[in-house]
Amino acid sequence: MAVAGATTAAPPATARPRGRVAGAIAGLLVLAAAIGIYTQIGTLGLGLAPSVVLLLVAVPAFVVTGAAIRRATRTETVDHTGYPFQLAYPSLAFYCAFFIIPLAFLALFAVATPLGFGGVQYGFDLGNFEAGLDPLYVEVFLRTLRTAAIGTLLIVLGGYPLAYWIARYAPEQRRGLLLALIIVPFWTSFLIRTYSFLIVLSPEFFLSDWLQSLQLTDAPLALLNTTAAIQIGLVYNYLPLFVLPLYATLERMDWRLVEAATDLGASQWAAFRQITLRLTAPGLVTGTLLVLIPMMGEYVIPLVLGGGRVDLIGNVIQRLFLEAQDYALGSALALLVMGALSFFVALYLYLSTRTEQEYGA
Amino acid sequence: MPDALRRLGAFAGALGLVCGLIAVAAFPISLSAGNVSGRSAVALVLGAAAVVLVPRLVSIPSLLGGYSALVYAFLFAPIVVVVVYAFNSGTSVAGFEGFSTRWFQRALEDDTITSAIGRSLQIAAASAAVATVFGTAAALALSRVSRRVRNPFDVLVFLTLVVPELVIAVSSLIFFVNVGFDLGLVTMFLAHTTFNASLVLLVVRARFVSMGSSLEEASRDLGASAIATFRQVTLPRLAPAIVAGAMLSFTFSFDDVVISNFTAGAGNDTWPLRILAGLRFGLGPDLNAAATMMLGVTLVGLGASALILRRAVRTQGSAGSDVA
Repeated sequence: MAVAGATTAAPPATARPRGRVAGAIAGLLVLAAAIGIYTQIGTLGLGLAPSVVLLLVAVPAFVVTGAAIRRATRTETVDHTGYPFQLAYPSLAFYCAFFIIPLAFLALFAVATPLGFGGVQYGFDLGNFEAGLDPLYVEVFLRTLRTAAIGTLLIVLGGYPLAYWIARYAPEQRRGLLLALIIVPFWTSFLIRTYSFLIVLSPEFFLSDWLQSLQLTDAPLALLNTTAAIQIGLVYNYLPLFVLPLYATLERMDWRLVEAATDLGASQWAAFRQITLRLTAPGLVTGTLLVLIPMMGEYVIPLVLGGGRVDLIGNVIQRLFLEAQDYALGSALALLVMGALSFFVALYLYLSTRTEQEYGA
Repeated sequence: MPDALRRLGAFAGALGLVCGLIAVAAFPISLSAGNVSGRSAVALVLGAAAVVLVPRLVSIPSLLGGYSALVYAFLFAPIVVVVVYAFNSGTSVAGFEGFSTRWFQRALEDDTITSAIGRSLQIAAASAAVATVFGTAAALALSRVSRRVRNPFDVLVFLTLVVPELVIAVSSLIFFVNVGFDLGLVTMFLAHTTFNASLVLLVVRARFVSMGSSLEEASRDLGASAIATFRQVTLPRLAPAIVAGAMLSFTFSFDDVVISNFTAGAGNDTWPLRILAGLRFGLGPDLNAAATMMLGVTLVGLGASALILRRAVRTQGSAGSDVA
């Protein structure tokens, strides 16, 4: 670091007004060209491969030109030990071409006027949002929120003791294996894992008979195609996602703090609540959001286990796009869901910066 | 022997505790629904007894251990069910009729299954390769630049991971359709790679930052070129993270349903899409058989790579090159 600090004592940047004007004009030209390429690429009649190449080339070309202009207008010294920033350009190009621009299209479609069969008239029409806030959709959204919230709660109840046990009590040489076992279900197809519950919860399976002979239920299991089945599927699929980040924080816990507290007379429960829970709060919050957010957009699990009889908001959006071809309304709904989720993300950012300030990094 | 008995006791204790809690929690629900029977009262009493007694009889660590065993059972039971039912001789979904391997043969002969798996492998391999190169390069570039450059990029990466997959899928669909791309393998590959690059970037950067830059600086000071430093110093130390990132990407891409469903177009079913289509017409044991075979292949591959990684770590450890 000391070496880097010495070399970056840059000489004061000398003003080169003419270079800056030329740079600005060149930059605007490149920007115009990039926009032109993106909007007109369909009418150029190119094949798929040249289009991809063009898209991929346009952005780095833009960035490289910008960097060159910056260099021309300002003197800067380079840190020789680091890797050059140019290495990030491929990813940057990819993100621009296949993430940011698609999102811009989504926003554009959300305020366009639908013409049917996926066609739209570009413009500024808030009618889609109005339609998206229809009580029918709001009800589905609230059901989604409730299902995801209950699912998250169940995951916390199931996952926290598990992570706690691995981090504190499991034999040290077994911990790697125990963690690997949590990931192994991920290596079977997500759909297979989900549809296995079609077998397990079916009234023909022996579980149903057992529950009946134990007098726990009167009739054969009738869980399939209900919200409860979806709930089970959600918990099952997202539990590992919660355990892993939580384990990462629990692993760093200093258990001597807990021992000190109990030695000084705190009860086990008080020590857990006041020390362990607080110190693991960042991992808990991360894990919770990591499962809550994807659950809100889930449509495959309800499709499989709900049998099309219970809709979550994801199913509505999916049908609007793939069946009704109402891209405009679908985009508006997707944006509304994203808006609702950004509330949780903001909450997360707020909580994580606050805990960081409280306890240090 | 007493050790095994204690473990069994812990497991039973945890099971009793969970059942007790459920019974206690279920009582007010059935009360509010207005159908209280003698049975639910008995369940309440038994459940309360379990909740009170079990923590006094079993120590907390072993209770937690038993509870963890329960969660593991929950995680693995459905997979075991799929594997077992792959050997079901009957066509019925949930009734086991007898042992047979005919579904394995049926799955191997089914052209739609094998070609779907082939397509999935193709996309996953391509996406993992490209995402690993892009993500690793970006991780190297970003780790030591100024905050002003890094923060916007971090926000971008964070966004690609936080935006729900469904939103990414629908925006990709709109984009591809309007730009005039034909939906197919290429569009699926492109949409997967965006997400995968972020995955690799995060994994690799975490490792790269924790490594510190002293060895790289020493290498450069001693006259090695940037490329030689990368090849001989950075790359070997980053290898585990890069491999992990590549494997994560491959898994994500191979298993992805949502993005693929929107960007596949017609007639390009990947393996998950093939299962989804199969579900529409009802389950078949041939899907179970194919899934079982793939699980076997994955586990063998995982075991092999774990062995290789362990050997790599051992040789590296004996050379004493790992400073961090």
